[in-house]
Amino acid sequence: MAGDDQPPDPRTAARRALTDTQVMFEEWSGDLFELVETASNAIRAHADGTFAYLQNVLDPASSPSDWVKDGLALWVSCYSRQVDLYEKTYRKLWRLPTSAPQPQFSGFAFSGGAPPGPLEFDLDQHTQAHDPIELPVPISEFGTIKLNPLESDKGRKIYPRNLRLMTSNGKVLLGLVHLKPKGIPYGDYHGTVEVGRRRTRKLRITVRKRPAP
Amino acid sequence: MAKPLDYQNSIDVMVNSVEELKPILDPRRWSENAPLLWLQSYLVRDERALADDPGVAPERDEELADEDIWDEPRPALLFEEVMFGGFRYRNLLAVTFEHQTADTIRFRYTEDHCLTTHTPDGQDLTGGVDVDSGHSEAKAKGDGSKVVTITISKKVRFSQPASFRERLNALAEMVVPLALDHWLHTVIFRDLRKL
Repeated sequence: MAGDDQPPDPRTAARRALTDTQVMFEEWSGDLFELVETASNAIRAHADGTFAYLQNVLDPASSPSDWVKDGLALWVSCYSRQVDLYEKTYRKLWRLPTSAPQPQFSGFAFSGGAPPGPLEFDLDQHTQAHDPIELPVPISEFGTIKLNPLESDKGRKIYPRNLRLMTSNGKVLLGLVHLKPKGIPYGDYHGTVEVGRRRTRKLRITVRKRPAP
Repeated sequence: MAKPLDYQNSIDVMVNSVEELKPILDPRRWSENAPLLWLQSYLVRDERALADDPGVAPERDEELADEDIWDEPRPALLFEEVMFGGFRYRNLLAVTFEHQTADTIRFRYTEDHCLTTHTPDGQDLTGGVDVDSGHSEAKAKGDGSKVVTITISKKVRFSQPASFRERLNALAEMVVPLALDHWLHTVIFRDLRKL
């Protein structure tokens, strides 16, 4: 058949991807986060199809009338449907109970803070900044705090420029900032925080291995 | 273990030169171009403009507000106030602008640190984003045509509010590609409107 030699029309694939997703969405009874992942993949497939069509519009052989007839209609259709799908997913997600135990994410949990344990960050190699933790130091001594470099057993360092002191609601906070986006080597880093002339507090930063993809 | 969302995509557009795309890639215009997402976006020169209290917005650098910042690679900080999932994030990015050759402009960013997360019930939490990096680039094909390839990439992960982390990051898996694909499509239509 002559039609078999024609490349598939990306518009057809794009529309089918969205229709399939909408059907799946209405009938879904499984895990909602899995649904989000599946819907995301479908949206990407749809977007790729739309891209393919729009790129074809840029072909020298195409004309503005092609775009007016098909491109705009597809574009509006694409995004109105995607936004609709997004809003439905969004509403379903926020209806989930919040009282259930939340999974622990590496990069957010920390322990310590009360003497005599060390202050401790716990992050993974993706982490580029760590939410601040409270330093048990009176705010009146904020200006006397000195941060020293941290060093791992292998001699790798985290420098004070990656540590930032802050104050909020009468508390002194310490944040871990501006880490390399490609990740810092995993391991334990040890250092100290000096307060005034006499007090020194241990600081430990634990960097976990990046999870397998 | 939540992995950051990781997005990359590119498109080809036809323009007279990459210079035309400077306003498109300029993060100082995010709040102007997408006001529903960005409430503010402006440059500050360095961390000396930051207050000790993350609840206080950094000082806007008026010189950097109007400067043609693409002339040479240069670092700066970008303060953004952005809505996501019903929360308002006040975030600080370390940014670099590059226009070293006539056929390429590039904007790179990495997370410096997130200042606060404002919740709908009025709480201000410190931090909130622990991964936010990427780039946008316009690069001429260099084959004598007017075709320029625009590429954008983004990694992001949310850390606040703690009780919403999982769903926020799940939502990001869906919304961020949607928003960025939409942005790329808008660029194409901007180009086509001139035909």
